[in-house]
Amino acid sequence: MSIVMPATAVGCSTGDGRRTIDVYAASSLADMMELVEEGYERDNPEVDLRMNLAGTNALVRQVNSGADAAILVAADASFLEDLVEEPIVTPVALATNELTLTVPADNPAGIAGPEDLGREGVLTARCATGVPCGDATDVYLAANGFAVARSTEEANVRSVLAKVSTGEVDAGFVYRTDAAATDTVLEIPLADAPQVTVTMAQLDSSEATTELARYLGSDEVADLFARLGFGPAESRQPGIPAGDPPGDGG
Amino acid sequence: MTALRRPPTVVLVVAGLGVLLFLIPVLALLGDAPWSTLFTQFAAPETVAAGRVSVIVSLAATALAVVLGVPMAFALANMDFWGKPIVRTIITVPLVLPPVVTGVALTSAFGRRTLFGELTGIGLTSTMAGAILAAAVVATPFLVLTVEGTLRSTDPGYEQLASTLGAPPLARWWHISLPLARPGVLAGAILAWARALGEFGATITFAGNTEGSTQTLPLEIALALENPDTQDRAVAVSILMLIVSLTVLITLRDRWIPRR
Repeated sequence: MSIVMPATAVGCSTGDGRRTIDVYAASSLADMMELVEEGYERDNPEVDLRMNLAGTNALVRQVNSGADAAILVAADASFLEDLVEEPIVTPVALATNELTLTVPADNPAGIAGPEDLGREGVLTARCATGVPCGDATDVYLAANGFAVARSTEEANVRSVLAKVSTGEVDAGFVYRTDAAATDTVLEIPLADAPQVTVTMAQLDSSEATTELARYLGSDEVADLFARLGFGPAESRQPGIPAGDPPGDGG
Repeated sequence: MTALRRPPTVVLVVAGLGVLLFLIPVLALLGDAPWSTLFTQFAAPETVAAGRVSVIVSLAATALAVVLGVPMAFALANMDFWGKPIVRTIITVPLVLPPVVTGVALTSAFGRRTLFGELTGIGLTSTMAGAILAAAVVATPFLVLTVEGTLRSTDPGYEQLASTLGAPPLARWWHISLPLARPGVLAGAILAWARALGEFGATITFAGNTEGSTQTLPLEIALALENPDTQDRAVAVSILMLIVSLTVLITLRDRWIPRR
């Protein structure tokens, strides 16, 4: 019997003396977090950001079962209510995102809009109920009375995007930023699409984590969000800390 | 078993720890069970649909594993041919490969955007045939290795006798060789079935997660885990799989697998 121990204990220094900060972030923030990691580690060479990307609900589950995350960036504010332990400061809204429909670049099923998803034989990828993008999809379909003929349910938004971009499905519900991240998919904008609010919760009070939280709330990061196509967080005012998280859930 | 063969105490202690590694998670799972609603959870429409898919997919995959695996095992056990080590390696690769990689490979071969997909019009993505193929690919190696092991220990005398008496090759194989391999085929089929029933990674990657056609019980468990409202169902279905697997393994093992 062999027991494999984690290479580094959480919160400790890595082998090269850098301090590790564990950041848990929604799958929809994959590209964003890459930019954050690059930018922050360049300016703070003594810090090593360790990213854990998954569906927000899975991240919340991990934190609730004892995972030692320093910061959790949720795809939508509503999911932070499921945290067993209160974040140490009020969660901060960082940006907004919107549900959209994508099809493979050559649109093999000739999808013109969400009404086509109910056509016989059309296969749609979507996030599972319980995942932020899945809840947003449920809300959208119910509110507009659209049916989906056949669907495959994925654990996170990037799996949906992958299925669309490889052409294994005819269409898929993702966020606008995911659609913009690749030219292997075409976006079919939705009227009255549900919005989500990307929200950060700080989970430990160490100075290094507080410093990182400040960076995530900075104008520099807001610019990065905007560059990737995220909308501005309504509550975010230059120089003034954000107040209550917006309740607009998906 | 002689007293000399009894392992030293320290080995037994480590063995005991090893048993705990398997026992503790099972007991913990039972401890988490929503006992009061267990049967309601079993009867949930999603569970019934996934159970049906699981039964069909695992049995069809086992049948495929037997039909394709037994001939492969005979060729590997009783013949020498050029490239045999390569063939054996290729067949056993799914044993060590992460199932998700098998799923990616199957998508490259039989997905919508492949020659196969173009010819069939849809490929096997999100079809039950795709789920069966994924389960068969990961399950067949268990059957091949088990049957091959049995064949190596069977006595060639019967086949020689049949040959001397003038039995043609196919009749000799069907009436003598195959019955001799029966215990191995049954044991291998059980192992293959168990692996097919538990298959997750290749299925979700290649065949997707579509209710009623590719959503097997393991996929349903993963899906139910995503939603706080269905956590209880995830645990309940896990217990269901545990019960089914244990029942089948215990009853069939005693009946069909000869004790050594």
